[in-house]
Amino acid sequence: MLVQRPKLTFWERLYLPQVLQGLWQTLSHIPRKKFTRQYPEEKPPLYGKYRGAPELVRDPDGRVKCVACQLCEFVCPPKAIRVVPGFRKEGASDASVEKEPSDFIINMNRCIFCGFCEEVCPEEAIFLLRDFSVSGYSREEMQFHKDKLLELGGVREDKIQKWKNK
Amino acid sequence: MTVPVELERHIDEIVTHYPPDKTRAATLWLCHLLQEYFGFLGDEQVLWISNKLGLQPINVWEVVTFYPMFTTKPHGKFHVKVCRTLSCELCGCKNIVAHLRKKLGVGLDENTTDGLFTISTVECLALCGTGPVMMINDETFENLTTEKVDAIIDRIRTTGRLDAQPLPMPLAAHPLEKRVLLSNITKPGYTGSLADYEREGGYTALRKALAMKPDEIVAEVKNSEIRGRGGAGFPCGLKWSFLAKGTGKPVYLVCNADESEPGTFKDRQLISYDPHLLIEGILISCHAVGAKVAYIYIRGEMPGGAKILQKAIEEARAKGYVGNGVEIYVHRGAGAYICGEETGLIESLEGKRAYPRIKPPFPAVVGLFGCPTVVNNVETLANIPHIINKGSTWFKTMGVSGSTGTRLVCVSGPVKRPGYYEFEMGKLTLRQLIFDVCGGLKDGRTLKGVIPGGSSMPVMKADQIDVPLDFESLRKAGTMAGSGGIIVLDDSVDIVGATLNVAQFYAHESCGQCTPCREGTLWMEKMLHRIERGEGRPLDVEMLYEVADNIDGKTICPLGEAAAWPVKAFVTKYREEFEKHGG
Amino acid sequence: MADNTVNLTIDDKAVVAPKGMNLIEAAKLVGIEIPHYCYHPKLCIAGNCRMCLVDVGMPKLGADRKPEIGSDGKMVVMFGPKLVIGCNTTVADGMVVLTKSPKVVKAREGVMEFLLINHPLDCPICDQAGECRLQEFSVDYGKAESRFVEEKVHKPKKTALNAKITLDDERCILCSRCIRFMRDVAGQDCLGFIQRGSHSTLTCYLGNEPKTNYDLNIVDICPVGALTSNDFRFQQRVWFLKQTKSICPNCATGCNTVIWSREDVVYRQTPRDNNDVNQCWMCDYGRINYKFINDPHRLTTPSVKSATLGQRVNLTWPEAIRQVVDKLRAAKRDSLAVIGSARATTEELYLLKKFSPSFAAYIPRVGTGDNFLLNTDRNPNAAGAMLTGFSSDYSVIADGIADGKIKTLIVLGEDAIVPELLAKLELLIVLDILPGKTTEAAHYILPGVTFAEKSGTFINAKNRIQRLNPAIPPLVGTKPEHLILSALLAELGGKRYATIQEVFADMTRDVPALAGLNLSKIGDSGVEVKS
Repeated sequence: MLVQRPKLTFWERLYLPQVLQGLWQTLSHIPRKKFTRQYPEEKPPLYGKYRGAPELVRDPDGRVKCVACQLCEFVCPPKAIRVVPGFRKEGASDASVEKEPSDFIINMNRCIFCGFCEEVCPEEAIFLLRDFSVSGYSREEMQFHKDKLLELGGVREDKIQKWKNK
Repeated sequence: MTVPVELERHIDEIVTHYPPDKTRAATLWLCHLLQEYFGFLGDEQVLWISNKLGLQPINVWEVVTFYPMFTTKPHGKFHVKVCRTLSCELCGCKNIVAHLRKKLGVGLDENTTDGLFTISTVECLALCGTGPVMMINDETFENLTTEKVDAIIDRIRTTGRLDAQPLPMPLAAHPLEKRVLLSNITKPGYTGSLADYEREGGYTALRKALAMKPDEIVAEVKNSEIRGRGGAGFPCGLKWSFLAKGTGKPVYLVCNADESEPGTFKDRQLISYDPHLLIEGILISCHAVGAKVAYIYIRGEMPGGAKILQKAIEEARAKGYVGNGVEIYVHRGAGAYICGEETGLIESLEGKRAYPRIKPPFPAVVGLFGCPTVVNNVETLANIPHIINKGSTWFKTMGVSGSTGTRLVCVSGPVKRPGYYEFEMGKLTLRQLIFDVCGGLKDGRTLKGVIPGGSSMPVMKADQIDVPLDFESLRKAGTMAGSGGIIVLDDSVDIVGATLNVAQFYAHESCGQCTPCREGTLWMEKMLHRIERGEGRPLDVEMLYEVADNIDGKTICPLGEAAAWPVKAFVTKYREEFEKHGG
Repeated sequence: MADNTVNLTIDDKAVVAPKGMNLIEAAKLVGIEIPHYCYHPKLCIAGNCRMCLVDVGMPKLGADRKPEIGSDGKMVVMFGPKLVIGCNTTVADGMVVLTKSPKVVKAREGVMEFLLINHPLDCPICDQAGECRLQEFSVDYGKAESRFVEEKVHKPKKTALNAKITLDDERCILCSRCIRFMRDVAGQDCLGFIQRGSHSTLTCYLGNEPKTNYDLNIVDICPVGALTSNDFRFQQRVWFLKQTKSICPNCATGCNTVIWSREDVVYRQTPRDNNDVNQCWMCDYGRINYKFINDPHRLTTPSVKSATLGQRVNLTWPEAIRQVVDKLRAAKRDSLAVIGSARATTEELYLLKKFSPSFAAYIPRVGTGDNFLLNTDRNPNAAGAMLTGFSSDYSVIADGIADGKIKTLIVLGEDAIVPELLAKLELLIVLDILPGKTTEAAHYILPGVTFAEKSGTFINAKNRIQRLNPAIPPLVGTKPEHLILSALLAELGGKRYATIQEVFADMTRDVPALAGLNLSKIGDSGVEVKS
């Protein structure tokens, strides 16, 4: 079958109307509302259970909640966590808790932000909070140690004081 | 610290009461004697005892901390011990304690600033019929009122010493009683001495028995069908026939005078008023089972009874009854209900913590010091001279089939005439006992329930008391005759409070060896505390029953059942009271 | 029915058990687990945990003393009124045991609940987590929820029982295994319970703490985390640790052990069951002596004492082997001596002897022994050394060096000859793991591996050949001695052994006492050899 080519008018053959049409299409968008988010000045809204980077928290008395039970290390699917257990200071106010991590290393290159560590923690000591952009210049920088994790985690307001009456 | 020569000589004599390679058995005696002298048992005393007996210090320390009668810190010069168990609580012991505390200005287990007094609450002192009661050092004071308490304390304060309290007069017989065991005690001028006992025909049974062969005596006792009077009701002759023969080891007879079942105070009467009946019974039984040594394990809270028995043994020795092939030694306990359990008693006699043994093996095969042993209750042994004297056929004419002979019952609680009575088994119902013999309830109260055999037995409601007092009838009614301690509850009694009192008793007395009793009894006590103060929840009633059910039948010794049955019975039969308390 | 066995039924499975066996062991024979805490096969029966309650019945005998058959064609079984504990019940002919009936299930739930109501919530900090019987049986036989809302009983926590062991009384379930062990096996009656009832507390009398060489066994037998070893406290979680079966190298008893390691660090050693050697115990001296494996001073590279530079120079392995072989080729055979170590494996000693020295000796080691596991002979493989031809008298070698008769010496893991004598040698080759006086004086150091990093065998004082297995890889830079010696021998014209099995095979040919054996035949429990 023979396909009839449409007969173009003179102006259509010049292609100018089409160019002007395209320009008009583009320019008509200028006054319209824009949806681009100006990151990093504008941050995205994070909904309720958003899983950012895992961080260690302290309780309202300043005690490191983590007791180095190493359950997170065991359950972590990509084995990003490494815990070195240690002893709490004798005579300190939290000495009855006995155990704490002497180092707590999360390899952020491996972490997949799954949240298993938060789910398994029996002491409610590790939480996936709101930090989603984690970057560094070297692989070593991306190993977050205990101090950095505690700094990022801050204090969690907690009513349950499990170790208070030990 | 130095032990005076006289005391050490006494101690050395005591150590000879036990086999030379088993001197550990003297631990309890040494603890008693050293605490009497020094006032407490501290590091030095413990090391002295362990050196003396060739033990490790931990062995002695374990014992000192197990028995509440021993203290590691000095008490005041006069230790006031008020009974807090059920029968006394029903008579108002809580008021007495509060009054004492106010009068002396101290809390419980604290010493007054002048060092004179310490107040403690203790568990059942086997004086339930005359409650509230207290002991000060070795003396007992019964039927207390706040005025009486004032008088006693003031007298101690003024004179600076504690007067010896005479034995109360024995109770006269009620017309419905049949006194066989108690036949001597109300005879005019009867003092319980050997001369008095022999005047009334005592020790003829012994002479008769010594002429019989041991097997004949066992057969006679078996024929009499007498059942143990301690609580379990096991046929006595049958128990004797289980003794392992031909082991080459000596046979021991142990008399269980550790009467601690709350509500029971019958053995105390036999020991206090007619000790020679028991001695004769022991001597005959030793001849029957072939025992050369018998121990009377008497509870530590009966120091007077221990002295009476010691004197009686010496009288019998002078006459040649004791020491002529059979030795009888008195062994004092130190405040543990679990020592009433036969293997707990044996462990305690051996000088250890009173942890009941797992059975098998049974004491008849492996008992005291690993030798075949027979353990019998005081009342059971007291029947033996009568059985031998008048014959088993005569014995069977008393009582009913399956429960022959007479039984001492003890009634406590808010009745007009509490006390001890002796009846033919099965010839009286509970109702007749409470209303006819004991005169019914005081102050126009109505009956709420009766515990028929010591606090371990399930309670009977007021409409269930038409049951005859014999072993089989009570068993069929869903309870047991137990130790014969009948506790009456009237409508003023708060059942939750009563259950709490009983639960506290068992939690305190649990030896702690096996898991269900150790953890479960304290849990039940805590739950009942919570329910009593109004913080109970609807599911607590079910939980109480289930916890008690988890203890029942899972333990090494019957204390598990003893702790579980009362809770189960109270919770089932008086459920509304628990639910009302909780809210 | 044989004279010394009985037939019984456990959960519908027919069991043939030896007379006198208890139900827990009998059930194990058919793969049924009866949970228990206080029972231990090597200790006397206590019967206090009540976890092993089972339902036991005997067939009802008719008037003809034969089992009655019921209306359903099955034997009528009379079950007891109460459950009984399995540890104290001996098997009997015809016995019927139910371990999963509703009564038993409920009893176990009840006992588990009672054990947990006063137990502290210490799992996250407790070392026993992962090997805790309370955890395991709670999952298998307990209830999922707790209904205890009262205040728990408080007892002393984190007390020092002695310098090696920490006692936490709240975790204690009062099973009394430790008391029975200290009294009956270790021989020091120092532990006991004080107080009564729910307040019963385990303790020892002040001044009379456990002081035996077997104290740490109570940490093994404690079913919960009440007794924990200070050596292992808070070091690592047990679920990360790999278990390797091995032999203790500290004396001639050769206790069977398990080495627990993660990656390349050894965290602890525990004993293994072997009724012919150590039952299930091990002495503290051997147990704690493993820290040298991860010592930072381990020798990690071959080196030569450079005469020109006056100091040690590191070599690569091929270079080191080449130099040593050259030197050995030049040395005279009749002036060569070897000092083997009776702490080395039999295979290493066999290869060492192949250097055909005129003298071969090992260094005896004697210490105080006890009547139990610690042998006075502190060498684990003196029997192996003697079998492979090493003499116990090394004074001949010392004299030989002094006279100048011995000019070349190869030392394997020993430090016995004094440095003045060593200085007289023309060639001193040392294979060792840690620096010492001999390595100081050595011309060539070839770093070897510890017992935890190699395969091999020890022959103990009772002539039992037992197998070591490597738990961690050789430290970087070191080589197992049998590979070093094999490489040297191969260059000198001998056979090249690629694997330890080949070494063993040749050894069985040359040592008649080991004929017919191979490493898999030795297995996990070892084999007795004739001397």
